[in-house]
Parts: sequence; C-alpha cells; structure tokens
Amino acid sequence: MAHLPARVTRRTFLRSTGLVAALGAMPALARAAAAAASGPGAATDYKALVCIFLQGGNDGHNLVIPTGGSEWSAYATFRGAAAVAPDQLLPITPTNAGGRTYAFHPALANLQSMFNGDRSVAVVANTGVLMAPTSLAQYSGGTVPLPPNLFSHSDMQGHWQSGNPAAPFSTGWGGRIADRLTTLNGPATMPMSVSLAGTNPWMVASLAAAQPYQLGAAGPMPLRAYRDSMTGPQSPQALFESRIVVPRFNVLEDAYGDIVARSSDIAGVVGSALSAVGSLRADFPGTGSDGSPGADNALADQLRLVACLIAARAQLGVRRQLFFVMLDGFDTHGSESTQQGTLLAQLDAGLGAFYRKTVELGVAQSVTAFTASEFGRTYTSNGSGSDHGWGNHHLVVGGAVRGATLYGSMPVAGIRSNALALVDPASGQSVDVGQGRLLPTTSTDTYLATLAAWFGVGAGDIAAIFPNVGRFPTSNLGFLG
Amino acid sequence: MARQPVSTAARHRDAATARGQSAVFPIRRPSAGLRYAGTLLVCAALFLYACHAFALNVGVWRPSTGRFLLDANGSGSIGISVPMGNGSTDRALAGDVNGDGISDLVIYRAGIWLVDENMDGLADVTFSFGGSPGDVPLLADLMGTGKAQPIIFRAGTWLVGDTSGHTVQTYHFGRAGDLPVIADFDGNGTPDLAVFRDGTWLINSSRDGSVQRTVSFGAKGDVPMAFDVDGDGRADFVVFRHGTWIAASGGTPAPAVLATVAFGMPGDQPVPVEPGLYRYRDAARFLAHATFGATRADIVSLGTSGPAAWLDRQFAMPRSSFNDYVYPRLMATVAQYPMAGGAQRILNSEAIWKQYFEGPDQLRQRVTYALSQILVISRENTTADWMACAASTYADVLAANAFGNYRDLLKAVTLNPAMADYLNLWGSAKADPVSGQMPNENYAREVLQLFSIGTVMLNQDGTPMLDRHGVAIPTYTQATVQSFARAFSGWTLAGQDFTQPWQWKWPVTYDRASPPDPTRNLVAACKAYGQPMQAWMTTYLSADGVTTLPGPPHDQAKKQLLAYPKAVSATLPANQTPMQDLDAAINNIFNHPNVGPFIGRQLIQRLVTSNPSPAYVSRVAAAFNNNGSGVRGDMRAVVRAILLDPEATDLASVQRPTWGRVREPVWRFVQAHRAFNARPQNAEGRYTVWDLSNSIYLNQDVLRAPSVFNFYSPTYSPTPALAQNGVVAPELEIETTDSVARYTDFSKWSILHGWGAYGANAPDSPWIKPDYSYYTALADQPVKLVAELDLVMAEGMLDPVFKDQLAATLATIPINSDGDRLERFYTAMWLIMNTPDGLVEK
Repeated sequence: MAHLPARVTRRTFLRSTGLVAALGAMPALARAAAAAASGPGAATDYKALVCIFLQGGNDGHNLVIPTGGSEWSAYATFRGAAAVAPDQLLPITPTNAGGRTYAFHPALANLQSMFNGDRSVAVVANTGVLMAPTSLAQYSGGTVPLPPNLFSHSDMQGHWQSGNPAAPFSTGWGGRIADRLTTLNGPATMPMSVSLAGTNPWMVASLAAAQPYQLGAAGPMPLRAYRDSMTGPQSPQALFESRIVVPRFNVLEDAYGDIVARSSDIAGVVGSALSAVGSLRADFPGTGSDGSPGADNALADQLRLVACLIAARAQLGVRRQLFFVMLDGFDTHGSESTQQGTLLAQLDAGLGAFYRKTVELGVAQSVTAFTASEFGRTYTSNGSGSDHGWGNHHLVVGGAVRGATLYGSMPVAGIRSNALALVDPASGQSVDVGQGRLLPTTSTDTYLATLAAWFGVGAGDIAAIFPNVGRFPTSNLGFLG
Repeated sequence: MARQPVSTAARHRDAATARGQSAVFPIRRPSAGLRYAGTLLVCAALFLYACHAFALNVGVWRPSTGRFLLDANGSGSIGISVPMGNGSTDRALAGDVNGDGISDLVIYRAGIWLVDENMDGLADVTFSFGGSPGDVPLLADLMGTGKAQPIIFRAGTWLVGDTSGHTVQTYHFGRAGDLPVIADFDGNGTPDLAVFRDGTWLINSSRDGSVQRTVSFGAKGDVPMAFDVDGDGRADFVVFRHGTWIAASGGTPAPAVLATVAFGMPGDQPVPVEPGLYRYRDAARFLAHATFGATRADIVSLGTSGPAAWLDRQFAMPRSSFNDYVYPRLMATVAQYPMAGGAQRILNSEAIWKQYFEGPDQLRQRVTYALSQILVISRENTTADWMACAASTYADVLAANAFGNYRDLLKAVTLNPAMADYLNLWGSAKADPVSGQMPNENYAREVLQLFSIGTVMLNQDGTPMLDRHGVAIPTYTQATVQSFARAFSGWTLAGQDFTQPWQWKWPVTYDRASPPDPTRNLVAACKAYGQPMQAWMTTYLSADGVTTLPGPPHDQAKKQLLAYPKAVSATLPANQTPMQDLDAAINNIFNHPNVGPFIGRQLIQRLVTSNPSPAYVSRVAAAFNNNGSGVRGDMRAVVRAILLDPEATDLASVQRPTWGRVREPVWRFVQAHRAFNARPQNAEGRYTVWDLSNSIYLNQDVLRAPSVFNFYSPTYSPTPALAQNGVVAPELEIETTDSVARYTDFSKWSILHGWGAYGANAPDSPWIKPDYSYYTALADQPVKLVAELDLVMAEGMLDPVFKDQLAATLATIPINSDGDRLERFYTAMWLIMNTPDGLVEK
C-alpha cells in the first residue's frame, strides 16, 4: 500500500486490511480497501446537497396541481377520495406556465411564497426511473427494457438511490459522488455523507473513507465502556477498543465492528463542532425548545441538524457535504386526504425554516435541497387514497435554483369519452399506463445528474455515476445556475 | 450401559448421503491451505461439507505452557484454550467423570486427579488414586455406570477406581512398558482392553487377559489412542506422532488409513475428547435458534435430553392467548390511563413481553416473532396501536398458526382486521363506475411481494431462476396485482348492521356518543377486531353516497391470477362469493413453488443464520413442499427442518466467514433478561415496558416496524463488497453510527437495573429485575465467570482470546466488597453485549 490517506484512521486501516486477509476470495473488497482515495485537491468553496426522501411514494398529483378549467374538471372527477379541496389551493406563478395555471397543495404556504417570491423553488415534472426513453406504445409492447419490479416500494427506492436500476445493488449515486470528490474535503475526519435518517442506499460508497456517518436526533454520543474511568492496557475501554479493531474472520462481526469504529472515530469531532453552533431549535418550528427537546416535526428536526452541521462546516473542515433526510408515511393507500396534508405541512415547515436558515448563514447559494420518492401514485382513487404509480413531480429548493419555473413536462389532465386522459404536452401522447400512473417523460438520471453537476461532478464522472444518463436527450435540466 | 452418543461423524455422513454428496457453498474458504493445516488431508481440497465426513475430536495438552488446546469445532484449529496443569510430569486426560454427558478435563499428578468440569481451568473435584512410579492413568467407563472411572495401568494390572480412591475392579492384560488403551473395538457397546507395543496392538475384548486380536499399525514412539473416527460404531486406531494424528480403520481386518491430521506439536500429550465436551454449547446454540435465549439450567437440561424431545414438548404445549391477557385487564387499565389508546398500548406490550420473557412455549413465541417480521403489521402510528384487541388478535393469529399450516396462516392474516386496516383491505370495493375508483391494491401487492412468493421466480434452493438472457423472471405483473385486488374486494369488519348500504368506516356498534364512553368503545373495538372480517353481501352504494350499484361490493367478474406450472386456481370464474374467491386466491398463492424457498429462507434468517447455503434452503423448502406425509405448508415440519438441519446444529458451519446472524435488539433485550430469570417486581407480574423503538432506547420493538417492509430487509448488505458477493446481514440495516453508540448506554442501564417503564431513576417496584447471584458469586474467579457468561450470553462461542482478555481485565478490578463483585459482573456483561464477539450469534 503506497500511501495511507490521512483520514483513514488507525481503526479503519486495521479493519480493512484484516477484512481483506479474512476474505481473500473477495477481490472487490480488496480493491475497495486498497484503493486510496484519489481525486481533486481540497476545494476552497462550499456546497451541500440535501436529499429529502418522501418515503412511501408521495402523491405528486396533489403536490403541484394544474388548475385550468378542463384540467380541474378531470381532477375533481377522477381523484375522488384523494382530491384536495379547491378553495384551499395555493396558486403558483411559473415563469413558463405557457397559459396553464397551477397551484401547490394547501399545506405548502412557505414553498408557495418561496416559489413566487424568492424564486428559490423549482418544480421538476413527471420524472421517474427509466432505463431508456420510453413511449406508451413501447411500454405496452415491452419493446424497451423497464426498471425491474416497477411499482414495488423497496425496488423503486433502490433504483432512485442507486441510479443504476439494471444492476444488483452495490453503491448509491451519492456514494459514488463521495468516492470521487471526497478529496475536496482535504484531511477532514468528518465524512462527506451524513444521514439523519439511518442507513440508506443513496450514500453507500466503495471507499472506506467515503462511507456515511449516521447521526440521530439526539446528537452524537461518544463510545465509552462501562467503568471507563479505568485506564491502562487491561482497562475495559482498552479491551473494548481492541475488540472493535481486531481483524475478524466472521464478516458479520467485522461489519458490526466497522460501524462501531466509524462511530467512535467521528462522534467526538461532530460533538465538539456542534456544541459551538447551538441547537437552532428556536429557528425550526416543531422541534421543541432547548429546555424540552422533542420533535413534532421529525423532518424539521432532521433539517435542523443539517443546518447545524452546515453552520459547523468550518470546525468540521468540510467543503462538500451530502445530507440525507427522510419523511415517512407517504404510502397513502388510505386516509390520503388527511395523511398527505399532515406530511406536506411538515415538509413545508421544515424546508421553509431550513431555507431561511441558509439565507441567514449566508450559504443559500451553496445549499440545494431536493425531493425524491420511490414513485408517484395513481390519479384515480381506490376509495380512500391512491395506489402505487411511477412518474412524479418534485421540488428543488435553494438560492442557486433557477426558481419559479417548471422543468420537464407537466402532463395535461382531461376527460375523453368519460375517461381520464393524461397527455404529455410535448409529444401529444398519452402518458397514462393505467389508472393515471404516469409514464415518466424525464428520467431520474437527468434530474439527479443536474444536481450532481452543480455539486461539482465533472462531465466524465457524470456518465460513470449515472450509467444510463447517456441514453436520454440531456444530462442537465438547467434548474441550477 | 455405556452411552452411545450419535457421533458427529455419523450425522455428517448421513447428511452428506442425503444430499448426494453434492453440497456446495457459494463461498470457498479462503487460504484453505493455511486454515486447514490441522484438518483431514482427505478433504483439504474439497468444499467445507466434504471436509467433515470424518470427525477427529482432537486436542492436546501442552506441558510447556500448561494448557489444554482443543479443537472447538472439528475445524482442526485450536478453538479452546484452558490453562490447567504444569510441568513435564503431569498427565492430561479427558472423560465424563461426573456423568453429565460432557467430557471433563483432568490432570493426573502423581496419584492426584484434578477434575475440571466446565473448562475454566479450575479443579472442581479432586481425589487420589494410584500414584506409584510408572503408573499410567486412563479414564473410561469400564463398569457401565455412565461415568468414566479413573483407571491405573500398572505393569499389566488394570486398577479400576472411583472418585473416593477405592479400587472397585481389577483386570490383568499386557505387561510393563506397554501403553494401555481402552475402547470398544468390536462395537458391542462394551469397552475392550488393549495395549500398544511398538506398533502392535493387542486387544482383549473379554477382559480375561487373552489376546483376541492382533493388529499392526503405528510405530515405536507413537502415542496410541482409539475412538470411532468413521462413525461405524467401532473404535478406530489412532496414533499421535510428533504433532500428527494418524487414524486407521478398526472395522476392517487390516487397518486402512482414514485420515492424517496435523494438530499439536512434538512434546504435546494428545487428549482425544469424547464424548461431547461441547454438548452444553450445542444445547445453547440450539436454544438460541429456538427461543429468546436460555438460562444455564435450560442449557444443562437440554444438554442431557436432546433437541428432538424438546421440540416434541414445545409443539405439544398449549398456546396462551395474547387477547386473553389484554381483554380482562382493559377496563381497569383504561381507567388508569384514560388517554386515547393508552391502555391498549400498554397491555399489548405487556402481553407480548410477558410471553417472550417467561412463557414456557418459547418455540412458539420465537416462531411467532419471526412471522411477525415477515407478515408485518405495525403499531407505529396505526390503529393497531390504539384499537383494543387489534394488535393482540393479530399476534394470536400468528401464534395460533405458527405450528399449523402456512395456507391457514395466509388466510387468517388476510381476513384479520388489523392487517386489513394496515394494508387497506378493509372496505376495498370493486370498481365504481360513478367515481372511477378502483379496488385498493395495497394488500394484493404486499401479500405477493412480502408474504408469499416475492418478485422473482425462485429455484427450490432460493436462488433466482434466470431466463435465457440471464435475467430474473418476474413472478407477477401489475395486472396480477389488480386481479388479486379484485379477488380480495368486498370485505369489512364483523359485527356491523349488514342491512345498511355498504358501511365500512366503523362497526355500527362503535360508540358515537360525545364525549365517547371509553368502555363501550373498548367492547365494540374488541368485537370488531377480535374476529375475522366478513363479506358485505347487501347493497353497494357508490362513493358518491347516492347511487346504488348492482351486486355486492365484491368484484364478481372472472379473474386471472398467478400462472405457474401446475398452477392451482390460476383463473377464478365469474360469480363466485367473496369467500370462494378468497379461498381460491389463497390456494393460488400458497401452491406457488416460490413459497417454500421464499418463506423458508426468511425463517432461517430470522431463527438461525443470515446466509444459509442454497442446500439448506432447499432442504427446508422440501419440508415445506411435503412434510413427509404429502402435506404442503406444515409449519412443524418447516420448523423442525430449520432447527435440526446439520448446517444449523454443526459447529462446522462456523468455519464459513458468513455464518451467523447479528442479534437484533429485541432478541438481545429479552435474552439478557431471560438468562438471569428476570421477573417484574410488581405484585401482578406485569411487564410495564413501553415503546422501545426510539433509537435512544432499543431502536426496535415488537410489531412496531416503520413499514410493512419490517425493520430490515432480508436482502440488506452492509457494504458494497459484501453485496457484490451476495452476502447479507439484514439486522445491520438498523445499526448505524448512532444506534451502536446509543446501545452502549441502553445496555448499561439494562445491565445495572433491569428494565422498567419509568426510566432509570424510578423506584424499583415496577422493574423487571434479573437475578445475577449465581454469577456474582463467581466474581472471584474471573476465568470461571467468563466461561459461564459465555455459555448463557454467547452460546459458548466466544473467541478464546477474547475470553482470556476479558478474564484478565476483570482481574484488574480489586475485590473488597460484594459491590466490587457486581462491578466485575457488570463489566463482563457490558463487554460481551457491546463487542462484535457477543453481538453476532454463531
């Protein structure tokens, strides 16, 4: 091994070499451990990407609603139990409305104001996981490969986050970014990727140094053995640490030890950095107060910690950060009208507070948040909600966003022969694969590659990170300046 | 009569024969040459299973270090290291002196016998027998008492003694300078006398001093032994020659070499270990698979009775109902906790924990818990949390069918109101042409994807079936899901006024008074959630609330379901009743060839190991497909197949780097209490454990998964490298840099205090208190304390290096009081519970 990167700690080094010894028959592992991080030198500017995963499949038909006469008639007729009441809609005014009128869901008052006023919000319409550009005829005829297990939560979550639906899961596109750009953070101990919502496919990287750190709502916690007051080579703490780093034959033991080692390495760094910036609870409604923490709005609480980590970027010594937050509960097969409203209100409050905080910290131009979700939902109702769909509408938020604009192609809803019609205005073709499940007209590859390019991924790496993006007309939707 | 334990070799041979000798593991042992330096040469180049066609219970005692070095698991490498004895004059032996079925380690020192009964290196029994210069000590059951007697060979005289030092029998055979051996060479169940004389074996089976068989094997200077290597019931000839063990068949007229193994080094004394030094460990491992953990007494008990009888007793045990716990207490508890759902939440948890912690029906509970992670409902933010009898009825459905048939389980789950609520089957109606609404697809999709067949066609061994392009074959399409949604339409909660038009929001008995009367609500809810759903056969009112639609809300048109070879009910004819459609749809799913491998593999993962070999999955799937009497889906057959499979029971599996499972938090929590007979300190014996799913507590709870996808996926891999090699560790999906740190704290409080509902500072009365007294009494003997904790907390599988280190660490804590003894115990527990050594069950 030629060169030990500074950020690979003793623990990580010992562990990875031990694992290689134990699993000599696993060449991929050896490669991952042996490859020292190489890439561009430390950056001077700062950028952060925040992935807001709306777990369960947010009903995008209710996120951004075309409200023109015939479109609204279709909405009122076919959404049934999933419909939002018309008098509560929040109109938005896209610069490229093209004669159509739109509104946000009634719960999105902050985002409405940010869209119309700050112009810090953009909408990406009808995006979804595709293997290649696909027409309705090609979908029906099976003449174009489709993502495996369409309409399945777990599979589509994996596809969104891996960016490589054709292959068995190995790494996420966020992880592949971290693999390539982790050197932008110089010798920082803090990894580029931080999840506030546990493990996720998005951040899984090949390099040990690029693996994510997961932070819980209660903040970082040092790993201290029972009777940690004892010292010396035979103290419980010394034995604990030695058993964490010892090379192991059993890969499950090794994997657990690896998590503990990473936790131990990083918790102290995070703890001291966060203590310098305070909790920011006062700026994030629904996250309790300093005296009585406790979140009514779990997403806002995660975004609060993201803001804390951004505020502490100097102490942490990081120039690029990827954050993963999650709001769960969007699988609204039932009780959609109340459940989705509650969740979108949490999204709105959290994102509103987060954006304001980035403005206050002077990093609004450097921080971009975006929504993701495994799929959209049926347009027609099942009597109390909606079922799994495909294409969906998403939001991008931040000072660098070319906002107040719709990107992609928003399907036109209508009624033909007493039936629902959803038509792509660009092609004039139907994009309804059944019950108003949208056939995506913009690939997630294109949507997500736009974010990656802004973050600093070079053109060559874009193709490596998103292996299918070359099949689509463009790899950049242009919503980030 | 001497015991005749079924030898490991025989079991392996049978298993290998049953498998047609073709078992292949996906991962080849790396560096086989190095690792297997100590194993049989006949198998060095083969895959693992083939390596254990023979069993040599090898071990040595090393005079230079005064240690027994034993092969822990038939791997040929040193697995157990016990410090005992010293110097060149000590003689080391192993045998079952106390008759507990487990070999004891013995040091003979000039007529003093030091007997260590539990591998802690300390003499538990000491007695005198023999001691004349030139005496050779042996251990064997020549008297047929079920215990090994101390025996002295003194120049051709065999003195059989007892642990009081008295001679109970005398034989004459051989002469001075001979090396004595005792073993059952002729396989008649009675040990024979033999002597080894410079490469010649003289055997006296009748113990009358006559030579009845003469065999040439070995050479002068060899150390002779004899035990059954090839599993034919007759002792084979074994010699130890400067660190090499050479075994030759005793069952053939001329001995043929069976195997040559390197173990130990020149100067070592060979210590063959038979019978069952590791029987406690086998018992502990079995109980870790079959229960929520075991006490020392449970392990000792199983160690002497065996798993087959234990399984029979467990299958025969009556089931205790969760609802029977909840329902009678509801009225009293709702007064105590009047907030909405409070009483239900508390009682559901109490009922579950009580049964997990102290229920004698541990196997049923363990299987039920496994099923609850496959056929998932959750109390997390759902009606199942606050509707009386909802979660407890669901738990009863799982428990009632855990030893029944999987088809009945699928049907009962489909009609269960909590599941119907969770996945929206309750009230799902056929297409409504007025509103355009369609049947709800949620349950229809997940019953296929998660509860039965999965998304791709499987071979019987659980591997995906591939098409000619090498691509996995989908089991169903979106159209299939929609057909099942139609087949399952038209159901609602029982106890409604069925004369009304299509009501499904609430049972009509639900109390609509304002403010609601909590008592009436409880009764109404228990009535609605306590029994299967009913089909709504009367008028179907459109979602517009005005238009009456023809027929019941059940979709009565023809449906195309799953097509597969020899498919059952692939098509549902028109005009069937809701129950006819439902029964046929369940049959269609249940008979799909995927169910055995798909469910079998997950049950193996939940009970035994994260990465079962395809052959193991295939054997379990075969049991699912046919219980031996032509019955498909017999859960008892499946559970037996999982728990008694050689891959689950044999220590050889541990030699695979992917073996085992990360103990999930719920299991750890119960185990750490069960091991010490923890019981609630309140008069009623109630387990007041509230929601533990927050990451600052346990990060998991029963029936509290974040979604129908459970806390973790059966396919989760913790690293890309493992993913690329198809290695999974489902339980690690919820282990993060945060959770592992929080667990250090949770485990600490749990060790120190037990657990209770009110946090660490509450008075002791409502707490679940473990009894550590047996273990704290051992605190002055750190090696023994660690050995005993190893057994109950880690099935005796802790790395011997770790055990030595742990004992050394404990020894640095000075003992001046009982408080210090507790500190040693706490320290040991914490380190076992927080290191990968203890966290991964192997």
